Amino acid sequence: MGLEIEIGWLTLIMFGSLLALLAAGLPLAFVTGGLACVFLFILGDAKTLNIVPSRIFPLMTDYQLSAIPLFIFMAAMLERAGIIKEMFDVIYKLLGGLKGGLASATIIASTILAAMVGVIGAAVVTMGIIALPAMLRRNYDTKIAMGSIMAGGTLGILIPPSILAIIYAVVAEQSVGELFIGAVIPGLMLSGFYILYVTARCYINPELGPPIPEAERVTTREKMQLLQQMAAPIILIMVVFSVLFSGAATPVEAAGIGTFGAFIVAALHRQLDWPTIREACITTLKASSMVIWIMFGATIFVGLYVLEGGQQFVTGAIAATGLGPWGVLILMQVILVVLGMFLDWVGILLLCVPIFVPIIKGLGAHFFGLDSSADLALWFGVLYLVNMQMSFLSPPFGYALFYLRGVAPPEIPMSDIFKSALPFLSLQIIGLAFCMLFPDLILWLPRLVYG
Amino acid sequence: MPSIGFVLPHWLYWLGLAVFPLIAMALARVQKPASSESYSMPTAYFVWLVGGFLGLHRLYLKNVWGMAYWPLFAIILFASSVERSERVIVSDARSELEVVDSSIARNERRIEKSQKAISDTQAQLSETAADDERRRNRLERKITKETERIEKAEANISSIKADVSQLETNLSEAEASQAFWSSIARYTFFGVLAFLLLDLVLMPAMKRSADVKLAANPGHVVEREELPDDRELAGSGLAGVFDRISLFCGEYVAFWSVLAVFVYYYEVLVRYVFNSPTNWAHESMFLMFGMQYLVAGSYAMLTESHVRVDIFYARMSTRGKAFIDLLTSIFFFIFAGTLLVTGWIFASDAMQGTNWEVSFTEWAIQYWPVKIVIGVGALLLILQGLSKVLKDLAVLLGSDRSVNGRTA
Repeated sequence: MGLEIEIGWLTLIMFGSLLALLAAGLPLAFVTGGLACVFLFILGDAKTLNIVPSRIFPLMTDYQLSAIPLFIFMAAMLERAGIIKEMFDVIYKLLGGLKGGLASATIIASTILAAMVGVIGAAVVTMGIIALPAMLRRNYDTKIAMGSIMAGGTLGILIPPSILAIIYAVVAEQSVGELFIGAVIPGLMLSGFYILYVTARCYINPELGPPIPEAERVTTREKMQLLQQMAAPIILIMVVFSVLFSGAATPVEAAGIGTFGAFIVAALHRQLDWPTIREACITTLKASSMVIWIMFGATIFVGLYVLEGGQQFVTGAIAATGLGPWGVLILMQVILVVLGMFLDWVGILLLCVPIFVPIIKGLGAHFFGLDSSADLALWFGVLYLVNMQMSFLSPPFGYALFYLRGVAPPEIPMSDIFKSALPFLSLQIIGLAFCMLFPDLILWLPRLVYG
Repeated sequence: MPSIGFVLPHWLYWLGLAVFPLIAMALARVQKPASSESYSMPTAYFVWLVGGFLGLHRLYLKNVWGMAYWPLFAIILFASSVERSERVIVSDARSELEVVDSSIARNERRIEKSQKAISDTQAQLSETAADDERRRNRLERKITKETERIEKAEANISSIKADVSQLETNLSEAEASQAFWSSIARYTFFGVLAFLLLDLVLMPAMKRSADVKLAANPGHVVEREELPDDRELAGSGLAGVFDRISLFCGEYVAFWSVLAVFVYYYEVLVRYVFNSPTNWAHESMFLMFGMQYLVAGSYAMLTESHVRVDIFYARMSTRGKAFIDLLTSIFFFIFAGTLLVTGWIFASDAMQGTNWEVSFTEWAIQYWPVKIVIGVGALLLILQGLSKVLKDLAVLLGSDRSVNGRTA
């Protein structure tokens, strides 16, 4: 039709209709895809619609993206073979004797789990099923128990291999490996914060997390046996990490090695059979297709918006606020957190990153005390990942809250789940502030590895 | 190490993609779940085949001697990596020697030129009258200058030749070291092969003793949660037909992921052990995944895996959901329909003339089937969308019980 619409109005119409359709419950992938087609036709003509396949095809042939199904497959294989559940049992038995030990064990187990899976749903649900009843049975404080499960679960998108990091790297045209490595220290730092917090709370008031009775504890000899049982998956994680961090192979190859290793680990645990492989394949198919279809739809939608001058519009609007570089950065983080309360993480990434990253790059690295724009891009990328963690935990619509709601005992009210997330949310804010104030937390390790 | 130059033929790639899922689907239906109480010989042989070089088959059968393979494999990896770096040194040294040869030739040409100039000048000098002082002086100066040039070039040549001998020793040292590490890698590899063949014979005995140990000390049994079977989601009537098409196509492409595991395994192995990376592994796999994403869209839709914001949606009644789904499905069909039509145009552009589109890489795989899949994926989505519309209509008209297999 070739209508000319002023960009301010267009912004309002495009994102207004996006919100309306989302609220009506149409899946995000189809909302963005459908609206993109409508607006392509309104602003252009029937021929403009041919952009659709030519935006999708580059994603189909993207080398880096194939790491997504592979890492999901690795986790699905381990999960379907029962190895993740087994790992929890082991860590529980090892740490049960400490005050608040089960809560710490939950966080440590989630950290290790995060090194196997790249998404958070699986971790929160698995732990909600295994760890929550175990802690409640031993009279743990419900809020400590649920908080540590949800906070631990969100580590999955920060600690490599994170699916979110792969998508970010593809969208912002950065190295997947660098983002992976940059997120390690912030991830471990947050994990450490959570453990310190629950341990401190339980030492101050042992009723919050009593140690399990002497009779139920395991002997040192049994502990050694338990560790031996977990040797294969632990070696697998170490192999994948060393391949990733030595730079010997690409992240995609690391994912391939990891998946192969998952098959072997399943075999060593006598769980390798075709029905299991089938279940793992289908779990992978559903999870990766959910992620990639959002990319298909959103890349057309945002591509169109940027093409129509949306980039300059947002830049102008931000400049008009009169904020300095730090103000802009903080404003962006606030926008991300707010969006995180409502939108899906892949969606937020595809809607915001193509617009935010050029703005941040335009501000210049020296404003933030960084040497190069490559450092700036990496720093912002990891800040984004840390921020997205918060969106999972923030009431009222954080995903982790609802994943846990689905598996927690029905007598626990939703308000308790909200309240249990708050202390951990503040820890995440502290972590994000640390990463903003001390960029070396993020940049040191990638420099060490890549020089 | 022997180098492996296997290039996956195009026909085998497409045949593999077409046939493997069928085999896997059949096996997944026939095979019983692995038992925790005994070891399986097929699994043992499989592990022997793919992970034998790490002794994993022995570890599977709880035989710690498997770890004896680790140092052997480490030797192979180390020797191969040294060989790889020596290979670089050798080729650098060779090209440097070529540069040296050409610079010697250049200096020799300069000497020749100067010699000719001297003899010419001397001829002119003898012809010049004895009293023409200025001319004689000029010619003599020229001779001295040319002689100096010759001396300089000769000095160059001798200094280069000194370098040459150094370079040649470097080259021969690097070549010797390359050959040495190559043979170390090769012989260790043969040694591993010999052990593996021996193990092939020993494996039944190892399985028996592992079974005995397991029976004596059963350890704990891994409990696995049952996943709900997506096949129960298929509705009845026409909607059910569409659902079953999505289920079949989804499961079909889902098994492709297994292929990726073995292709990447092969790629990493031939690169780091045999020093011969492939030119097809990466491309074949990302194209395969690209096709998988497209086909999987309808399966994910049937299983409600596409995320939605369900702040309001989740609170609606079944009929309310059906009604609003019908309304929003307009946008779904706009997207899927556009994708079908433009995807078809996109693919038919790649199928013009006699040379249908192939990739710009060395492997030059056909691109047009990948582009066709865009349309296929869109078509599957439309069918799934129709199935959803039929189900929603049934809900609104009040006969929902018979249509929905499992409420999602």
